[in-house]
Amino acid sequence: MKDHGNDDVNETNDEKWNEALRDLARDYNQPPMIVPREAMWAAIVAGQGRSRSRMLMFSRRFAPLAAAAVLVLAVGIGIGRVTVPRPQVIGILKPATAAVPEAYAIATTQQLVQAQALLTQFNASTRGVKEDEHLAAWARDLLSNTRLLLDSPAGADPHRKQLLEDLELVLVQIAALSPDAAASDRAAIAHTLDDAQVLPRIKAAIPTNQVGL
Amino acid sequence: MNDDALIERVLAGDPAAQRALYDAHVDRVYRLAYRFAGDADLARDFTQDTFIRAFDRLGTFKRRSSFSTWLHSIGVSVALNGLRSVRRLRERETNAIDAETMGTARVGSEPDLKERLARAIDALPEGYRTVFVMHDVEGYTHEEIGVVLGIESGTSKAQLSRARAKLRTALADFAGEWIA
Repeated sequence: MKDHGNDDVNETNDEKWNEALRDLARDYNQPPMIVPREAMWAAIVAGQGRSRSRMLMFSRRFAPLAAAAVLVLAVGIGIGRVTVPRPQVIGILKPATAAVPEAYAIATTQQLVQAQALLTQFNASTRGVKEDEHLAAWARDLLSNTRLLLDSPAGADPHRKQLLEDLELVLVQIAALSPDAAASDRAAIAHTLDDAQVLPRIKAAIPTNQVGL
Repeated sequence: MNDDALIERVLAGDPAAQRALYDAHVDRVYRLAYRFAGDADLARDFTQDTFIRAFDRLGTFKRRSSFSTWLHSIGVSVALNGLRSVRRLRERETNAIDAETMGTARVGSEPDLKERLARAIDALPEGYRTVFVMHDVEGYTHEEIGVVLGIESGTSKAQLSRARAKLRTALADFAGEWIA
């Protein structure tokens, strides 16, 4: 004869167990409170029409595999800066020209707003392992989008392209910051920032009504 | 403005409507991507890719389900495919590290319950994990899960039940303190 009393106990235990499981599982891969809407939107606008593989090519997840490529890129950019005559740094960036579609202009502005935040934090930061890791991860995020923008119609405007290229160089350097980085690494970044006037040019390139993006 | 009206405007070439559609759905897509990935960078990649694909294919959306469901179908597919690729990469990395550090591993302290649960969820077969995360973690109904994953709601229920059973087995030594 079936023991209904035991069945009830088992069922109650199952219910309790499932409830406890649900409660505990709420912390599983808990998403952050703030969704990076603007950064993702900039990447989406830049990435539309491109193949998925292209989008993922610079994925931060694959950064370890791309580390060597980043080093080569940094060296390459550095050589380019040394060997190719550069135009004088222009204090004020011209507004987007008609050649750049509006969507790309918006994406570029959003990217520059984020870059400004990063560079401001870099300038204000004191040397610290956690801080360097945070800045490096942030720079890697921005680096992939900056390259996408350089490859997009946003890079058609020569002034904008120059600014994005200079930003790319700075981001490559910050992305390479590591806990055991020498103080000279930070000094080199600060030198690049000053030399190319990256931050003032970014500020000048952001329309005043976009500053709070 | 509802999704249908926004979709019409997007298809007519209105970028503001595209942004409005994104704003209306991005939080939930990102949240689910993060639950699957457990990593901010991957969640961002998956979310971005989901919207790029959705906007590219919007003309093919037949309105047999809600836009949200259709979008989530793309999102889950992108996340699962992405995670498979990442897993393959990690396995290769782990194999390399294991070969280098063989014999030097030390026994760690006993993980706490939440950590153990997280590992057990990670170790579930993909189908079980997907349903468990969507139902027990994110609160989707079996009907929603069925539509998003293209399975019967009964299959979703069965997979959830098996997932819970596996987790129960994996956490058996915590059971006493857990449901006491």
